[in-house]
Amino acid sequence: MKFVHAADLHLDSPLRGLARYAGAPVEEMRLASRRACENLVGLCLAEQVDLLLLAGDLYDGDWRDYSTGLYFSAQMSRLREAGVQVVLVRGNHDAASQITRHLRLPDNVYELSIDSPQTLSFEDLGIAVHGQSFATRAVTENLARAYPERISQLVNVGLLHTSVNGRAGHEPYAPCSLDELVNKGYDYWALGHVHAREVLSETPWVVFAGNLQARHAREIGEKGATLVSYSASGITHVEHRALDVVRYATLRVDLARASGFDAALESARDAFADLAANVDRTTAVRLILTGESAVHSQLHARDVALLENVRAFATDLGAGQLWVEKVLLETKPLASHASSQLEDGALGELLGYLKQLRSDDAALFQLSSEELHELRAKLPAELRDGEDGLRLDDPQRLRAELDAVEQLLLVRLFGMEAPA
Amino acid sequence: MKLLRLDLLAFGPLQGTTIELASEAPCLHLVYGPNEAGKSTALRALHGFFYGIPEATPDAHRFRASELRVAALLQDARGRELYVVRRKGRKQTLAAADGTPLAGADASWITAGMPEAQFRSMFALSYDTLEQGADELLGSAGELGQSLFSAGTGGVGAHAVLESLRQEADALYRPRGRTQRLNAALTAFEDAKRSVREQSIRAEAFAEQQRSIEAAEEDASRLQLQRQQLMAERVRFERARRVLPLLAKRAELRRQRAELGEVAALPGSATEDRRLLERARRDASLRIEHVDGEIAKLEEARAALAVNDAWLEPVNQVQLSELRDRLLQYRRAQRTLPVRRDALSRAQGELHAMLERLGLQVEFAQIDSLRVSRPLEAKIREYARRGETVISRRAELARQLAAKRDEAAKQRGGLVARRFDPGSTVRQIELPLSPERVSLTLDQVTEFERASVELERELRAATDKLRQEEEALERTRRDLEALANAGQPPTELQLTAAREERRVLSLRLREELRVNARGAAGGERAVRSQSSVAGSVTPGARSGVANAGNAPEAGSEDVRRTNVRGARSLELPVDAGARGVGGSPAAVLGAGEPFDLAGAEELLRLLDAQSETADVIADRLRREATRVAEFARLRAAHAGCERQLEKLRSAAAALAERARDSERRWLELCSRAGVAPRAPGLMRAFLTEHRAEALRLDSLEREASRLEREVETESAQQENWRTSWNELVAKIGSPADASVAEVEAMLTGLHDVFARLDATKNDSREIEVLAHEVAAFERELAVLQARLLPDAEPAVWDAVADALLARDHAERRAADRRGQLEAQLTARGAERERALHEHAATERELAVLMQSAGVTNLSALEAAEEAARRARVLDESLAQVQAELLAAADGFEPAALEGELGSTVVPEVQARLQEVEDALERVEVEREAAVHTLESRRAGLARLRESRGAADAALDAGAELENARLLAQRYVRVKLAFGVLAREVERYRERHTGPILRGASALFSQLTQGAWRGLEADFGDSDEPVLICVRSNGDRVGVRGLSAGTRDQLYLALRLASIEQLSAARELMPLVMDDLLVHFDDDRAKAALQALGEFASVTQVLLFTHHQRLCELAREALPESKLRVHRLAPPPTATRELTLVRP
Repeated sequence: MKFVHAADLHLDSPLRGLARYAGAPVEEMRLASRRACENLVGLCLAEQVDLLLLAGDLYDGDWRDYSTGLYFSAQMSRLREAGVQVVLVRGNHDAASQITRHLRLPDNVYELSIDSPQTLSFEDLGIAVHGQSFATRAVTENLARAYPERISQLVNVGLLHTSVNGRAGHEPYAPCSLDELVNKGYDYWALGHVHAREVLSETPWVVFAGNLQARHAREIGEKGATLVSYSASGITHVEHRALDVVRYATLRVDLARASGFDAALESARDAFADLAANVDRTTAVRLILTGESAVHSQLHARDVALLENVRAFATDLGAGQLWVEKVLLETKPLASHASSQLEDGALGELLGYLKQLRSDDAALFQLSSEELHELRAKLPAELRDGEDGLRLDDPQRLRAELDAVEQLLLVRLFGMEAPA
Repeated sequence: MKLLRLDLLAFGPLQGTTIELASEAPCLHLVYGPNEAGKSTALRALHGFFYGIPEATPDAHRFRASELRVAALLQDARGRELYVVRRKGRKQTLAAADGTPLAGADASWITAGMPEAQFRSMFALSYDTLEQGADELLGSAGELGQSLFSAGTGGVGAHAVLESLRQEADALYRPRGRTQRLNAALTAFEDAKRSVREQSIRAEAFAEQQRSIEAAEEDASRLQLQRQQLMAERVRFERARRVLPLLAKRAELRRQRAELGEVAALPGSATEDRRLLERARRDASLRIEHVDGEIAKLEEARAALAVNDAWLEPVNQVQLSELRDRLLQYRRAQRTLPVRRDALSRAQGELHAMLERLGLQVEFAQIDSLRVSRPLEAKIREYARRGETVISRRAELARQLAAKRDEAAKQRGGLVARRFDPGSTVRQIELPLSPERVSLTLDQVTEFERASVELERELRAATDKLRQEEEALERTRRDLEALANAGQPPTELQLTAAREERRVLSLRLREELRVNARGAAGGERAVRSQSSVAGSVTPGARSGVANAGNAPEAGSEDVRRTNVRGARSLELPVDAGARGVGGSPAAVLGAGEPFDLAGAEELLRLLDAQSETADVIADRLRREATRVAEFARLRAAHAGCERQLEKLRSAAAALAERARDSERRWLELCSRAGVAPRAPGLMRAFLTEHRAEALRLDSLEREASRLEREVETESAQQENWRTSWNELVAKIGSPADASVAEVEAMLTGLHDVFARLDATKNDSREIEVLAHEVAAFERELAVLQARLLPDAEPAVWDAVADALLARDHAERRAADRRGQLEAQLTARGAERERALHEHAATERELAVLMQSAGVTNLSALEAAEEAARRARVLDESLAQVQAELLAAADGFEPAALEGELGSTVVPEVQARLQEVEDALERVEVEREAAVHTLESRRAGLARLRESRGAADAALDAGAELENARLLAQRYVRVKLAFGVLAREVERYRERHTGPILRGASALFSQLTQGAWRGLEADFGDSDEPVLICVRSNGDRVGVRGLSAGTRDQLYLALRLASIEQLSAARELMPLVMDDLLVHFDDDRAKAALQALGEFASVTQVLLFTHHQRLCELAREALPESKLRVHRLAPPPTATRELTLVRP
């Protein structure tokens, strides 16, 4: 007997951080979450599983396109035709979703109650599923605590959307402790909410399946679902199956030995060539250039050309599979070229002024206000907010920008060939 | 920081080139290097020394990159000096003179902590940078802050940078712009967001869509029901319209059937059956009549036929058939018999001829007696083959025997010819051909050779030993001679006397010195006396001293001479002895001269020297004693050598005697062997070869003997064969000496004879058979003719045969015709019987018909048949109408319909039907519209289900957002950079206008040779602070009013003033300029050189140029103390020596 445990489908949630450019594999990125969902259904059919467990967050909370729900319903119908039962709980996103409220799902899909823990016993399958859906977006009480006792003679599975005892980058919803879950006596805890796959315990199994399809550069690596085999004696085999269609990857290139801009590009190109040889699906790559390098200033000065070149050879090497998500410059100037200690002369005074701005929030804010007030008024919230948000009144964000400003000014003042 | 020396150890084409830059006072260093001298290389080397040699250097050609080295001796402001070597590499590229790596503070010491960018922009000047700075002044229109900042930083300049940043920012974004990239991206993002909203399907919209579908489904269902009702109505009226005529028709048919009453139940085929029966009865009658006529005709023809049945008897027919078969054969035999008999006669004649050719005279009938049986022939042929083998083998053996004999004869002749040394003594001596004897001789040779070698070795060893002993004897002899020639050493007595005399003299001398010293101490007299003594020593006295000094040496004169002659290795100070003893006290005291204190002291010093000399002589005497002992040892060794030599000579003589004895025995051995004595090696080679040849001859002769035996055996066998052969061939009539070929020819001839004989006999037998068959045929023909054609003429057998066959043919044809007629008669009879039978059957069936119709005659039967037919038609019509009614009634009972319709008429039904049709048409239209609406709404729902537009639009929106984010980030960066730089320029102006402007003003005046009085700050058209140049006449001119050259000088003045201003804050790097003044005229170049010479007091100034003229101008402009000119020599092609470049 088999079941599949999946979570955090976030259907139709767009992949983020992908600025479009000529040659980018746009079509491959479209509807990635739907195709991953189809892969999930395909896995259930291919493995002839008996049960599919979905641990919440089928849709984005703010996603209002009802066709997403209809699509999901159609996919569940495919499982109904194959006799696969589906049990799901609502996660925080589902609780907030308009789709969830209105969608009528096929009769092979069981949505567990939002009011109290509920148990579905599939006697013919020898399994009982316990779980409770989120009633609201932010459920802060410990749902697991009230889950029923295990049912003897059956394999007991707990279906829960939770952060357990906290996971970085995830809201602490439905908190609980691992010990609590382990001591419940269930055979398997099918958890959702945390997007990185994680096996918290193997006796019993406590598993975050991770999300089905990564959505941004912080969700790197393969994504998918967990295929679980069981018998009357309990869980017999657990394995992860990659089902994602687009993957995010980080590529770090050390430019310590790069003698010039072209050499730096060549290093990056080599790294992309290696990556391209090892990817088997569309991959969004974040290129991070590091190292104490002689080309530090040139990279900053020619960041646009750098990005365009990287995109070009990603297109060239990737055979339609590589998308340059972002190029981050984390290089440092060579010690012999460092000018941070210079305090006299026109150059020293310029650097001193930048240094002063870094430590003077008021002056920095004033500078930003005077130079950027016109842009600030026009920036949409999507650009202002979030981790990568352009918070023009945030001194920390502005200070980070001053490093790039310094490099830009030094290169402009002293020419392309001049080191910083 | 300044350079005291720059060593280009290995850089570009330069090797070991040094530029000495040390000077007592600050001065301008003008480094002149003509083309190819390496000026640019030196500049790169200087820069590489300070900040590292670039990764991609163009200077790694003569030397590998890892070999590049630049070194310099540096001095900082506090006077500290440090020699530093820079190599090309990534880490720890600096080292002290002793190779210790420099890092951290030590490494930054060489650049005074100045970053490369600042050095490049401020302290590395070329005409290009000068021009660039001047352009920057022009671009900024002399804006004061930008001008000062640009001169302070060098590089591109604030104005150009600010302008480029502003342009880039404007190209990215403007508050009310549309085409700027960020504006466009934000617009695209908003559009994409709108698209997401528009393409998103709200749940309510989906529910509404579902509700509208349900409503449409209701409409469609209602209309469908109406349609169904109307269609049912239409069906009912259509049924009525169909049924009403059928009901009327059925009533009429029923009436007609009733009128017919009871009718015989004749089948529908009754009339046809009857007609057929009547026709069959008539046909049968006609056929009977016809057959009767034919039978009569046939019987008549049969009666007319005459057939001879006896002729047709089987016995006759068999014989006639054989006659027919054999007639052709008979006629062919008649033709061929004479021909074959002639041929047989000719063949017998040829047989006789063949026998004659074989030499056989026998009668024809006896020929068979010559027939050779197969076993005999096989035996003869076997003997023939064996005879050939025996003869040929014997011949082959005889040939081989002859060849072997020839070869043995040649080998024997060769051996005789190979005799060693064919001299008269040896000629008669046959060489032993036996291998054993040869082997014995070889052993002797080997033994003699071994003994000779051993003797020779011993003799050589004895000779070597003898020579060594002779050499040793010679050495001892020479050593003895040397020692014997060394002279006699002084005796002990002589030495003791000499020592005593010296001691006495010494004591006396010392006493005299003490006495005279007391008398002469102090006082003028003593001084004078001392002076007179010093000046009164006569040459003769000094000579006497020298002579007296020779006396103690007299005894050792022989030894001294010996040493001088043959033993320089002793290195005795013979000259020192002569000098030292020159101050003899006896000579001094014996002179009676006034005491000379200085001379006495000299005598004392000589006395000491004499003592030392005496010690040396004593040592020499001890060595002489040793030599004597050595002499004795050598004498003993010499005698030993002589004795050993004598023994060795005796041993050598004994060995020589043994050698001679061995030689004699060898000669004797050779003599016994009959060969000339030769060297054992040659003798052994000859004997070995001779032995091989003798073995070969022996082998050849043994082979010849074997062949002879085999020839004899084969001859006996051949003789035996001949005897048997003769006996055999006699049996076939061949002569006794017939050869194999002759016998084989005989056998072949006999074969031919008997083959021909057998063929002749066969022909004869066949002729007899043919003749017999002809006779038998004629006999049988005569018998047949006698029985069947007795009238025919006998003996003309051909005609008889033809007549018999013709008659037979006619008889058989008549018999055949008769048979045919009888068969026809039988067939006609049978046909008549069948016709009679058919006639009776039809009669019976007609009777049955009439009986079933209840009539007794045929006419009544026909009436009954008509009544039955009409009743049957009416019944069928009724059934058909009934069936139509059932079909038209749609399953209803016709009776029920008849009751329902009652008196309804068709027109009335038609009108109602039309009304229903109209209503149905209307409902159909409405229903189709409702269905279309429903399908459309369902399709819309399906589209909603399959929609992905919002998701796609969201992806697009995300992409646009990221694009906008990149552009916005860039805009933020550019704008902040602009803001920072603009503010810093202002800050710089506010801080430094006064001091820099003062310094620059003076420099500007100096550089322009006073044409311009100086510089001032003022405000421009937009109230911005600007730079104003003041002419000597007081005119005020903005930067844009200056000539290009003057702008260059203005920028240089500002630049130098900025450096000077910087000097107050920190230690400076040397100012390095590359052909800075290349476009200055001579006057202004001189002015500039003068200014640079003075600027050397601010920091070290190095001006590189490849213009000789500049050197001349510099010498004119600057005093020697302010100028050092260094000339770079072109690098030698393949030298590694240091090239020193001196001022």
